[in-house]
Amino acid sequence: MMKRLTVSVTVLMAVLAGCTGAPPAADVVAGDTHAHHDMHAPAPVEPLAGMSVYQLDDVWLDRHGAERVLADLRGRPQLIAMVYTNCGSACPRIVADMKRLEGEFSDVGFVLVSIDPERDTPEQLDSFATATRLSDRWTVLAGPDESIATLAAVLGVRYRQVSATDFMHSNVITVLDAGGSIVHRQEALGEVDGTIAALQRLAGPVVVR
Amino acid sequence: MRRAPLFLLLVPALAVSAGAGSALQRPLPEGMVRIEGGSYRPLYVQPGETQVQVESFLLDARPVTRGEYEQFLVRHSRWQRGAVPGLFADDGYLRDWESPTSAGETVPKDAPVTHVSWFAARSYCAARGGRLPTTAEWEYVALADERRRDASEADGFLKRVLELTLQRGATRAGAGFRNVWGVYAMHGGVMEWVSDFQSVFAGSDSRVGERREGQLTCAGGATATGDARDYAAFLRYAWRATVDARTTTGSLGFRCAGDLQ
Repeated sequence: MMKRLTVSVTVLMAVLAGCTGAPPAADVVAGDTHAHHDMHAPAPVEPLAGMSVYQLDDVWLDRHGAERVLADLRGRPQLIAMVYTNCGSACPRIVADMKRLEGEFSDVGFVLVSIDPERDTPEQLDSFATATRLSDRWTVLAGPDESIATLAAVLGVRYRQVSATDFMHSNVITVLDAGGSIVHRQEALGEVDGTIAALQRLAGPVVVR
Repeated sequence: MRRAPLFLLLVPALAVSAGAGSALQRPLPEGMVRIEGGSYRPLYVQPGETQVQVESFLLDARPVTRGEYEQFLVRHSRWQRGAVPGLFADDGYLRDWESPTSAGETVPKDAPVTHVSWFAARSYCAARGGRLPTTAEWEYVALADERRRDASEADGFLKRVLELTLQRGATRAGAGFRNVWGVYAMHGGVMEWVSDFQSVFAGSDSRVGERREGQLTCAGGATATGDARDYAAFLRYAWRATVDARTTTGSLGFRCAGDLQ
């Protein structure tokens, strides 16, 4: 717990200070074109694994408008999915799949990242989170096109805007370990067995209810 | 040919402007040509949509070469073989290079660089102040022959493109032909990364059926299939639908694009 806190504080300080020190590995490796990449350069307390998604250093906004990097999620397993809040069909079912697991695993976080940067502002994400009764174990993030493309690339999520308001996207729920490495990908709605098994390996046995 | 193994469900690409490449200004960056915007009829059509719009942009006349990539690695050592975290490239990254810093002489320096992941290609282009072309942009330029911007309806063009594609030598940067834009090797060279490859969906084939499709994608019903008349394009969409961003192969390279101010 303490370690997680330290990482978050480091990240926050780096962001606030507009740190221009040596870029972290992902800064060069991910090679994005955003100018903001130079603004935060936290040296992780422990080096991230080569397959850790937390090497991506894009800056996101959460439902409160606060700047977040994925590495803030270090320290416990996370379930992560990419959705858009205007979605009427599959996205609610993704959230439903994730919520089903919330009651069964006490030390797992839940992350939704929007693929709709135009409509999913922090305010909209906040309304969505309230309407769908997301607990404080959930992190909801919005970011620019380029950051979305990068994260989708590492998570293997395909998506495409098909109308002014709708997207087509693969309904992938990814299980990340405490260090951000992908340990399981659930590729279809409702098929939570593999996800549960992966979380059991990471987070211990199912809570007896 | 009528029953293709992979039944692709595709809709026309919306060019996603990433806002990159603002550093690209006149005169044209070396090796790039200006592509005038226009529209074209895509291979796979979303219901109700028949044309894809492309804004004017810049495109490398040739795929990025081994020699150019070698130069890139001098200043971007994090992209040397062995230094790249697994998240950003699979184990095959630059596997045909002599050493982490040298492509070697076995293959000519002006041959297209291959065994590069989408992340690597994107970083290279960003380092030049550019970006990868979108699927829409790439396909738009691929419609041209030596004399016409859109030769797709011209006699023999699709057959010629298919033959070039299937013969794929991929060893020279100038493979194929120089089209009316002054762009080389759109056909018959290496396959090339596009920025939005992940907007291409590999849909279900008849064995999988509707139910599965609906489970995999939101708004999945919005897709439509197209005919496979342009089989070379079908093959391009097929590999785009199956690679992931870490993938590296010996026939997959890239060229860069840029925005006009």
